[in-house]
Amino acid sequence: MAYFLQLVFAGIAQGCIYALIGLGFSIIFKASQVINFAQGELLLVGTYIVASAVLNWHLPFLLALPLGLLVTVVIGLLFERLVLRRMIGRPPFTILMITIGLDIILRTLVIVGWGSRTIPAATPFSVTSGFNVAGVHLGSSDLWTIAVTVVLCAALYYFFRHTRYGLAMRATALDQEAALAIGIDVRTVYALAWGLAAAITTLGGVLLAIDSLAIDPNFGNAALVAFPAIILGGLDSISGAVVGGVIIGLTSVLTAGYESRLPAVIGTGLHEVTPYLLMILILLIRPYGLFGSRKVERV
Amino acid sequence: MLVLQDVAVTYQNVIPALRGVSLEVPDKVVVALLGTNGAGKTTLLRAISGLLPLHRGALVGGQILFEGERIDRLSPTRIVQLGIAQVLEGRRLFEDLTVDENLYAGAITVRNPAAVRRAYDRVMSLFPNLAERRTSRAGYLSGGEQQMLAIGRALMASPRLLLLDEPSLGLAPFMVQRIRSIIAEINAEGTAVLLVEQNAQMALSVAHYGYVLETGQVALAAPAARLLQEENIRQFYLGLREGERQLALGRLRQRRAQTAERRWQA
Repeated sequence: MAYFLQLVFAGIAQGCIYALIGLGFSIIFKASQVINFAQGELLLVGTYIVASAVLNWHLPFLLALPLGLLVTVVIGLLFERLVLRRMIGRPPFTILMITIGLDIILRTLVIVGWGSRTIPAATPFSVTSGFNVAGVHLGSSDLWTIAVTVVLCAALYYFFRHTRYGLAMRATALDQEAALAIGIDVRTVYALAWGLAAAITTLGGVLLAIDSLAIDPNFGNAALVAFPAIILGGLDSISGAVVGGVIIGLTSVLTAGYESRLPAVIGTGLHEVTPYLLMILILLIRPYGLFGSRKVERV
Repeated sequence: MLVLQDVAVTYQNVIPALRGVSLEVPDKVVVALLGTNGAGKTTLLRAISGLLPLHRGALVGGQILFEGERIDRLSPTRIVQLGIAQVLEGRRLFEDLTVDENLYAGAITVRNPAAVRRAYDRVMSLFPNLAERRTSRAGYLSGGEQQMLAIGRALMASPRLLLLDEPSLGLAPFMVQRIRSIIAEINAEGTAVLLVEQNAQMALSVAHYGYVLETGQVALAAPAARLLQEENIRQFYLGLREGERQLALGRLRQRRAQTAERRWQA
């Protein structure tokens, strides 16, 4: 039982990381109907900056983190300013292709700047910190991950429901031209979406790096693991990203924890596949994801 | 109040949509803009509200003045702040948002909470139906209610000029009459209206003045009462068989030459 609870705890913590990375996708998709393929590389740049700041420049972690966030937010805002602003009204597909370009540029820059070898990740915790409850070890980093995710989600919920800009973002997501016609500054909405998404994703990346102890230029692929989470939750749904993330985290960790008891023919890589299997299964039943919006239609 | 001088608009640098349109909407007046599909009515509204770039269109000639200030290079946000609000064709509500959220989205350019409150109360007294459905999703309203919400959303910015694009489209006759009286009511409170309509009868019955657009040019401009009696307009817009349609078109073109001296002095 303790083993199972331990796995559930780890699964939720990992799910929270997927949720954070997934939130980045959702926010940008909501605002502009674009899947940002550069998401993983924003996260990559952010974690490298944080790692460098701690290990090379000897900054405290709590200073390094905002620095990393700042850099990725600036990249997101610059991208909005220099590229997206000219693309308002163009098909989402065009913008999507541009994000793939940005992805390649950022990854190359990281390799140029830091080399392609693995470097240790920055962490404010020692691996064993935390405490035990009923035989379950609650690690500090996992606890912090869960706390950060909960607080952030509450803040986002408040932002989208109860602030002018939140309303502007939701309106723009539904109908860009109508939003323009009532005077919503769509450029500000885009900038907000990119800034927010970059910051949240980077936060997820830094937490993930703490978990995995080391990073290399392929670290951005972590965003791909968040992908089943948001598809599962519904691409345009904030709560969907969170629930989807936790489901994927649990699935992956629980499979990893028990797969050694399965027949050898299945192998020990099953946990890498189960999130995708689950995603396909749920999409078969609910094609728009668990919380995704079906277009409102009158009956 | 609003003056268009020789406005020419081209889409994607090659497709002409307006070819030198001059038009005027005086203070507190309802002006009807009539014309067949593709005549350039919606393009004209887009030129005023700054939405042309979204459709890859651009003003290539002339200028647009609002209260003496050039507005044809301003952003849509700025234009709304100056006092021009547009109701797009097809209502274009934020369907997943509630009625209230749609309305408050319409007031996004208004910084003063008291002004938002006032505009909200005004909309609610103008459309009592909406008051009962404040928390329901806009997408689930009836067609008439949706049109009212679309107009209400535009009114939330407390505009001095309201641009309406086909408000009667797809509505039942009694609802068309309801929209008509709402336009009259809005106007009575001092808001000028530029009304684009296919339903010429309705438009001219509420408007003070009317323009007829034809392939991107003003074919006819006259006081609404006169347009309503105009034989060509009656034939052209109030239903006619195909053969006679050409005839009416020809006569309309003849009239265009005469409109210059008849152009209304505001």
